[in-house]
Amino acid sequence: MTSELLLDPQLKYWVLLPISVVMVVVGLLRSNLTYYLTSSKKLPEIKISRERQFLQRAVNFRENNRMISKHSFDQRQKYYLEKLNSNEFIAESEANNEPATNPLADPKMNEQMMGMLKGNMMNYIPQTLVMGWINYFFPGFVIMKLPFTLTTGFKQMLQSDVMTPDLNVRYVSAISWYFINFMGLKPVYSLLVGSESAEELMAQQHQQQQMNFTGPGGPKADRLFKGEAENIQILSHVAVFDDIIDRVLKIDI
Amino acid sequence: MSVSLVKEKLLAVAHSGAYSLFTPSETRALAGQLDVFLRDHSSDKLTPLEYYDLLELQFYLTLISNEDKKAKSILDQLQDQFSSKDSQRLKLMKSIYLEAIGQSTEAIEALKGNKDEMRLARRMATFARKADNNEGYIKNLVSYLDLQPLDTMAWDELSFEYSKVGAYNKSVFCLEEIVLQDPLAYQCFYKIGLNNYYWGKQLMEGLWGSSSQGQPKKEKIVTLITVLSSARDNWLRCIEIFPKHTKSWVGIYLILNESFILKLNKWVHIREVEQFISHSRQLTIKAESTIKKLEGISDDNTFHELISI
Repeated sequence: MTSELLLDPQLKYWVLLPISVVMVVVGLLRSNLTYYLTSSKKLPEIKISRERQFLQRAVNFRENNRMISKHSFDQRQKYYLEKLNSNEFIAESEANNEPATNPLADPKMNEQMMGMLKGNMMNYIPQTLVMGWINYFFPGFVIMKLPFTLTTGFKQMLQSDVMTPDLNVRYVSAISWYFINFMGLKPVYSLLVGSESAEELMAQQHQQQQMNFTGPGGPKADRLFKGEAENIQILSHVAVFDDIIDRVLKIDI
Repeated sequence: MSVSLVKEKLLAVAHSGAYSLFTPSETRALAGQLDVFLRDHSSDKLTPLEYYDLLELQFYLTLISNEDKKAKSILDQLQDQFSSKDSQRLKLMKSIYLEAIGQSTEAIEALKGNKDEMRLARRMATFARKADNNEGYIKNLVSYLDLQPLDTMAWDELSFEYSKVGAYNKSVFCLEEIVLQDPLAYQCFYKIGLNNYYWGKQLMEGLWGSSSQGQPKKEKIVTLITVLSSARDNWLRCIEIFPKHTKSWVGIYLILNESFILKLNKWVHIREVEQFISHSRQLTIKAESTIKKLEGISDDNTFHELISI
């Protein structure tokens, strides 16, 4: 059984709009603060860049070796097996002899860790504050009624913090409105700061940070090299040139 | 053309670097259009990033047009805005400006500083490009590519330099590095075919040229056929990706109509030779009809004139 509630129109002005505005403003402020707190991106060291590019070159060879002749393939396969199994292209070859270190205790990673910490702090602190503010001032508030019907599956999403099992699913609680804002403000940000910046802002909000393999806890380059060498060792070559005459003769221009 | 289309076009030119291949009249037209666009719409149609991208394009266009003073004023404007960022792009522009006004030593100095700045390292490598310094330039490019093996532009440049000195096998190696990164780069397949063809010509000269002595050995014939097959196959691959590539069709026609083909008849018992000439008739007919169709040629005389060019 469902029941109808009479909502005070003032809720719109004193709860619904403030939550929305605060969410937008906090999002924009966080974006700007993150920009100032993030240390400028450093160029990768020349040796590391060389190591990464060589590995990528080997991957390209593994993936696209059909594009070259058998003779070129054999020549390159031999070359890659030799180089990937040596330390010539590894940036920090001395690391091979060291015992495995805790990446969190590695002084070289300090800056990276600090950057990640700042990013996380800038994400969690404002969210915690806004959520605390909503929980403190508007606990259990039902703030709006959606103008369309929904299935009961949305009840959990829209009526968090409201302990009435029979309430119509169209009613939305304050904390649920916070979550909806949290997930769906991208169009608003796009309107305010442009679509590219909005993407960035949403990524920051959802912590979609990518880590590369040299980041803390990533696999060591020598292991990646060995793995790639094994992949290249077992390659069998089928050139794109096999039967190419027949294929081209069939082309109708 | 609408303002947004002009903006898209200018940004596409700026980001692709296509302006470097423009003719003088095209460059002039583009520079005029860019000047008008920046004057009328810099504040309302462009984001700051787009504005500075177009300003960079304007800098290069003014340098190409020999308007050094205007280029300096744009460079100053960019330096005022970004000098604190220690930007590679800005250092590169400064170096190019200094080189353009004839201060080569200062241009090199402007690139020095941080060895991790690879864009500047590439620029530095090109300073050895002089008509009488092919060897030094190749050495520079090889060193640079040892550090940055994914730089396809540098591989192409190295291929061109090897080709100039007749090291066609090395040139082919460089071009293959590009197709390993970009398997649909049909122009590179064409170039591989062309370099293999020149290499084949070089081998033919050794076998049947004025300096040759006696009958060629079987191994040498096999090597020659392998190289020529590779030329033919790479041109075919180019055509497979882009069927209207006339130059590749011409290449196929030429390679299968070389005078040496007759000389191969006595080597037809070698498997490679037999394979090479087995499809030559069909391919020649196909190449001839396609070239005629693509070039709108109807008679044989015009066709043979075109081929002989």
